[in-house]
Amino acid sequence: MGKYIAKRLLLMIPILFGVSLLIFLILSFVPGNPGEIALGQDAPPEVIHAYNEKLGFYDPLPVKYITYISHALRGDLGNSWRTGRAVTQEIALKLPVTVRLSVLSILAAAFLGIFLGILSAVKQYSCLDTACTSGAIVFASMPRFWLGMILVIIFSVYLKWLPSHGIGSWKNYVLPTLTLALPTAAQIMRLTRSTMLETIKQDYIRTANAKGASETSVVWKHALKNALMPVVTVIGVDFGYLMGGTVLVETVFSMSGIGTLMITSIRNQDVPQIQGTILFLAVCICATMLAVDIVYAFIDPRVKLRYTK
Amino acid sequence: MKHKTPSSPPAQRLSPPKQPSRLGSIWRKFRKNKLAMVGLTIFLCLLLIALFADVIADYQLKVIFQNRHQRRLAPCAEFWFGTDALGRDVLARVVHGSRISLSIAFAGTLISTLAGGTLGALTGYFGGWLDNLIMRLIDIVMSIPSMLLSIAIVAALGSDISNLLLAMTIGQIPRFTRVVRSLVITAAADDYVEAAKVCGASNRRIIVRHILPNIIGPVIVQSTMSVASIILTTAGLSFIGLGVQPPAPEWGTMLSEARDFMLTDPYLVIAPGIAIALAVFSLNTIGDGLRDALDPRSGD
Repeated sequence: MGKYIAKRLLLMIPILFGVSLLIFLILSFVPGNPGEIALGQDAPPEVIHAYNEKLGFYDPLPVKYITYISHALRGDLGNSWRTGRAVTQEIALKLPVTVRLSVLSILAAAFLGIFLGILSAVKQYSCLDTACTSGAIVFASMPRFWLGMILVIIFSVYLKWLPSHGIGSWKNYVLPTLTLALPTAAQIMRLTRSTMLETIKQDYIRTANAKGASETSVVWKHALKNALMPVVTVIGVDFGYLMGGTVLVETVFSMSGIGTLMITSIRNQDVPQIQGTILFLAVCICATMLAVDIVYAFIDPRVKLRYTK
Repeated sequence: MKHKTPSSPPAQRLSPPKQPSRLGSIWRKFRKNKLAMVGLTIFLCLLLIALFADVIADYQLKVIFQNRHQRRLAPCAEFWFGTDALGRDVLARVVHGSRISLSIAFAGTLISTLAGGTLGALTGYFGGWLDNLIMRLIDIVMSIPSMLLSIAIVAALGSDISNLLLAMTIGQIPRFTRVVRSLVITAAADDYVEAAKVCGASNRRIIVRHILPNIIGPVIVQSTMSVASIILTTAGLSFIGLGVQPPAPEWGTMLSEARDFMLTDPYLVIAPGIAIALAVFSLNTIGDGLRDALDPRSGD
């Protein structure tokens, strides 16, 4: 098992280097320079030039990348051109909102998706099944930001139950969480339903039924464990998408999280901040995937077997 | 390759005389899938709307021209979905928006299919160091969420149409490469490829004439999904102001403008969102239907 984890960890290193290089190369095309942004465009050109010179802005790309990555390895992602504060500090300031939002949504989506998926598989072709399957297709087709706006119109404008924007209280998180969770729940529900249907057909389920185990025990004890295997992987992948998706949803609900931070820095051509934020999110997502794979290896005896031989 | 292969006429004689055509059988299966047929109908309607947008509403007069006397009118007989903050007919804008969304999505999918397909075929067929290199690159690209990658690209290069296309294709190419690669690997192990090799066919001929026709189905399924996904990403980018720029009537751009009046004039939000959802819905159901119809295990 240790060997498996070590192998996966080692594989992550080149990928993360690649990710950082790719983002660095893409963002090297951003027009604008730190001096203009920090001192204003009206500052005398010599002053701007000197400022840029000091920051190493005119160094050749490879030198800049090596400096960047060697600092990044020590946890220093540089300073924001706009505010002058450390990029990591800005991220830490905005992180709680985004983490709360994405963790709440993935939990809600997983719970809702798995529960409804099992119900509609067990009661295949019932009214509930039809309702869930068609609901899932509808939610999966909606763009998240539009779903968010519709929820605001229903629950804030007409019913006046929940606030439409801000991050003050727990009430502010209800609509954004639903917005992020519903399309993901739809996807998880469809997958759970189809794997559950496959599992129910297996011989060992027939054996369990034949030996007189109750319906509840067969579904929730015998079938669920196996049916959930592929679902676990998808939940991990979805968590990554959710962190990307918060960019749009935070905009809809005017929440100041990582997403809004990134959009603000893009508007201001604040390269270190954009770069640091994307890199941070990519590392988070890679780490999540890794964690999911390891969890998967723990619950799937086949993976474990391959590495304990 | 103009000369006839000497072995082809006897091979034809050996095959059973009357076989139902493969396309016909796929269409029969597809037609039985109600949801997929609904999707196909919606999609054809969208295509017609996009093609005849100029007949439905005049571009200059209704989509671009700002009429200050009819700002933010609620839906009525003349303006079915109301007018926006600059006095333009929302419905006319949504109709013309279909052109932008569909053309970006089709162009993006075409480029991604060709580029990703070529990469996938090369890596899957030849394997070796090229396969290793390209697949590692794809692992890297795929570990950045495609939305973030698109955002980074348009943020760096600016958001004109060609950069938007680039941003979309970079997110899609890896998926095509993976799908085509695994299909080619499976197909290359089949007997007919072996037979073609024995006959002395070149690698190029084997890939294009023998393997390609056998894997085209799943690639088309992936393409329909890709069109849907590009429509969603374009709308998302436009919504945060990084995609298609106003005054172009792109659906996401319209929603971004509508957001400011969401609390007072919620009707502005409805039409563009429904348009996106319908387009995505139709493409996804067509894709699902095609996948089922192509699956030989599913009953005829």
